[in-house]
Amino acid sequence: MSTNEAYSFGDYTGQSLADVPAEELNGTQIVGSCFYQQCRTDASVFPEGMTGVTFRRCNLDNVCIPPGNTVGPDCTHKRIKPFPGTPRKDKPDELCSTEDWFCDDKGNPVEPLRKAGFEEEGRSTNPKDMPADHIIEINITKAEYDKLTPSDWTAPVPAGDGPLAGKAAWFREVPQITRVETSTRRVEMEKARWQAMQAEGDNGDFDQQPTLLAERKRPAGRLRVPDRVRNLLSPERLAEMQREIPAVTVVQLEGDVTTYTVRGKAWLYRGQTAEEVA
Amino acid sequence: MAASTLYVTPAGAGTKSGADWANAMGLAEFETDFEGAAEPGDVYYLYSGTYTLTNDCGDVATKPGTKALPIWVIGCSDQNTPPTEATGAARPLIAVGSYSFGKGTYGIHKNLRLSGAGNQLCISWDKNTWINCDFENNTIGSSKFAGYGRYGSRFVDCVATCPNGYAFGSGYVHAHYYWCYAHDSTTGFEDPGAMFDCIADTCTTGVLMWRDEAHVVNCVFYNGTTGMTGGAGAGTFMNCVIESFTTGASWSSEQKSNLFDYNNWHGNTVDVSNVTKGASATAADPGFQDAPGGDFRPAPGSSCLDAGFGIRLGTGGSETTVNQGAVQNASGGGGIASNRGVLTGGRL
Repeated sequence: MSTNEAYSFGDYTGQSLADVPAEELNGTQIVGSCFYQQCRTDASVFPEGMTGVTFRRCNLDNVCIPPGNTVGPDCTHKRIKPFPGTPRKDKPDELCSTEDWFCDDKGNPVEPLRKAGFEEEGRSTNPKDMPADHIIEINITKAEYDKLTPSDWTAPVPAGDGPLAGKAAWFREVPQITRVETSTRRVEMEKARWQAMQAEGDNGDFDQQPTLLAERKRPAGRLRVPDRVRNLLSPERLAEMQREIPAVTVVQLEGDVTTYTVRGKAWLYRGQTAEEVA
Repeated sequence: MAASTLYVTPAGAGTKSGADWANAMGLAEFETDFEGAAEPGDVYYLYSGTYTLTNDCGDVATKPGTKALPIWVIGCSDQNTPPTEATGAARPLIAVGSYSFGKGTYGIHKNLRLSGAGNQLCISWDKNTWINCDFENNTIGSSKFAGYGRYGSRFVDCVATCPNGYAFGSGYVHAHYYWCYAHDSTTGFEDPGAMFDCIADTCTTGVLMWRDEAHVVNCVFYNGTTGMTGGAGAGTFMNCVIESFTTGASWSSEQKSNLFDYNNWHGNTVDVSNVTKGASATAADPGFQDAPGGDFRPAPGSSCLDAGFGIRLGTGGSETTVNQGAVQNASGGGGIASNRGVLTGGRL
């Protein structure tokens, strides 16, 4: 059987080859490629009609291999899904990050991939010790919290790998406030920016409109150049540094900022659905 | 046993003993030797190509290197003896899937690319080093790590991204970062000990610090929600540029043992919260060459030129001029792999 040079020793993690003509694969040996699909088991990534393919030293975790093809004994072909980790035995109330677990054919967790790490950290590797839900906790200012509606907290975490907007993204329920702390903060910002925020009724992180402590004009000027540095500079470089920086008015604000610690159930991975949670 | 030099290609060759390129180990032979027979001082040369892991490859401490004789894994781009060290896309790609790679204790890993979608891409337990390595963790799970190193591990001239987690992390235990570039991640750097000439570009949080004694010098934090945050004390934060954040630096409560000064704060909605900037802080446009394009070198006339505190020593042992911001490779864009390893500062 000939080695398939095009698809051997390649990284196809998270990719689908379903649109590849089956003839490009049929009857060949694919060696040393990674086809791993994350979070969902038994993913169909190969084209319909693929047959006679032998996989050697490939990562086929979470991949469905159609009948008529062969998975060599040197491949990995397991089911892996994220579940909550188990708490340290000496900290039973600890919140746990998500962990990848090997699963059985029904998708039930069997043991963590990081088994040695679990043992090192004093965590049970028995899935029975896993919390029922993935619980997370964050700190959020009262100002941010007040802007969020219940649906902001309960909306599914969007699929994809781009950046997530907002602190509510990973929650799947309205979290409980478990701690409230208020402190006085002092901030400085450009007056123009502060005025723009005020026009929109935005007090930033402050609970309410802060006290204006001071307003000062940061004069136009030039960077301070210590003598010991000045003496080392070329005239051109010194001139660059001495260029004028425009004046700007800054305000110094002081007020109370209340921070909530909130705790609640969270999604395990991007794009997870309520049905998958159930 | 004496330390050995061993040669590895993705498929192996000849007898697969690793004695020379004609008899290079394949991945299976490498894994067996690396985990079960590695000796302090061993050097493994990995030739370009894709190495697909079928389980964790490496160990925490079963066959560790030592302080005097670490174990080396070096990516190379030809099969000469000695081989040429690989750069850019010629560096071997370790496709880890959901697994991890690395010699966990006193291992030095150079010129590799690690890509996957799991908890963490690399095994880096104790005083490990990663040089000129790229880490790309595309996991859709929450709070994962791309480059991960604990207990004094070091990342030098590395690039990392983890959109749903930490580009560089240490599990709340100090790791050290030099000339590293984190981008498009939830958090750029977690709990640094020393962090010099690093860039966090478009990370929601640039650097997160809960452990005391973080020393963050000549770094750039660009575009996100919070540039620097945490509750740590006794740290040093100097000669940095913090630009385009909702809050430049935010501490849970002010720690007056921290030293903030000579930093440039620009374009942030609020520069600091529970942080005192210092008497020599600056606020002018840092004037990067092309920040949205990842080029954070100061353009001619940049206000950052020579505006930092002269805490570095020149070759003669005297103080020299210092910019604010990070030394970046000549190509611009710390993430441009093909030219990484050539630092404009030449300080390596």
